[in-house]
Amino acid sequence: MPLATSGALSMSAIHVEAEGSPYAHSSIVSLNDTNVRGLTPASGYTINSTANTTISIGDFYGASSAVAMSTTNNARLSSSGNTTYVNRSVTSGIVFINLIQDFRLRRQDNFVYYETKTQFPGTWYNTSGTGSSLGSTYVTLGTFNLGGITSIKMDWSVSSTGTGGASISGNTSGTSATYSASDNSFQTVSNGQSIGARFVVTASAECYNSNIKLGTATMTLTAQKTGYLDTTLGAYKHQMRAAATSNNCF
Amino acid sequence: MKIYTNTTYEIERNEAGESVSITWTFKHYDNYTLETQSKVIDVDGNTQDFEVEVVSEDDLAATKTATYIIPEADRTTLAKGESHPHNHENEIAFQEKYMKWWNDWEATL
Repeated sequence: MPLATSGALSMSAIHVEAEGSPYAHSSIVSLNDTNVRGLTPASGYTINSTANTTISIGDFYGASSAVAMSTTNNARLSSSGNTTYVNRSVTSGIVFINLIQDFRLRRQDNFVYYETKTQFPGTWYNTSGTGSSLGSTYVTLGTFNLGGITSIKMDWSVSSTGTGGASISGNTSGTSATYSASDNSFQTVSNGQSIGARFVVTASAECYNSNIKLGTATMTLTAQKTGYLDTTLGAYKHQMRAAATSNNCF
Repeated sequence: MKIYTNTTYEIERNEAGESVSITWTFKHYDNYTLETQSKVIDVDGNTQDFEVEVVSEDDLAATKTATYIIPEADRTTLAKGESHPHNHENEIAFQEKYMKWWNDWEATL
């Protein structure tokens, strides 16, 4: 249980958190003790892990002995560019383009897999930025490397340019997920269960018009398990571009 | 989460009638519904049903504009035809210019 985030903070409380036991009283605690310096700081705080460096009691507000889960990223994160990209151009008398990308976060002990697939061919980029084919079969973009994870969530946002629609919503039928994901809301899952969401980008054109819709979905995945910090797999950027061109008018 | 954007544009021309800049106006809506509409799909008048996004002005979230200065080499005196019958060659030629402007502007984002 994390330390208090405000008010009085005792050396004893810090010791208990560092020892991970309410009965931790057998040794005299020092702010230079390895396990004290090893506590995970709360967001916005820093605990210097090197003994004899400057530290204050206030640095321990909200600190916890819990550690983050181990994760593995296979794909490029949003901070470095697109994680996936789908581009489809259609020219005809009348054009309606509907691009679909499915996301699934699936617990299969001892992992939770972040997976995606697309209706039309696209590209996914690994951590080195090398592109590989993306299509109608799920590709694993990253994993939480831990069994027994109890809750998972997808946190998404969508932006776009150009004429057309862009949407993201929870989905089970297209994603083959157990539960429909709800934005930024944890879903309890047991082994073998999953949550899913669908990203759709649309563009249409008629009577010699040209419309291009570039939709971007940013997806952040987080998992929960007792004894661990809530851990984020990363923020992934998924982009789809639909270019509709009409070459006639009826 | 659903967003929809309607785009219109205005082209500024010089005295010779050449396009010197294009300003797009983007109306961003934070919701839309899908409506089935029948559309004519060929010269024989055959129709097909399509799901079309329909927006309400109540859902208008923002209106933004963007202006692209058209390089001299990409300017044209052509304009999109607004009435039947359309001049196919004119429409396709203008469309190629328009797409070039759009793609070059998009690349700057």
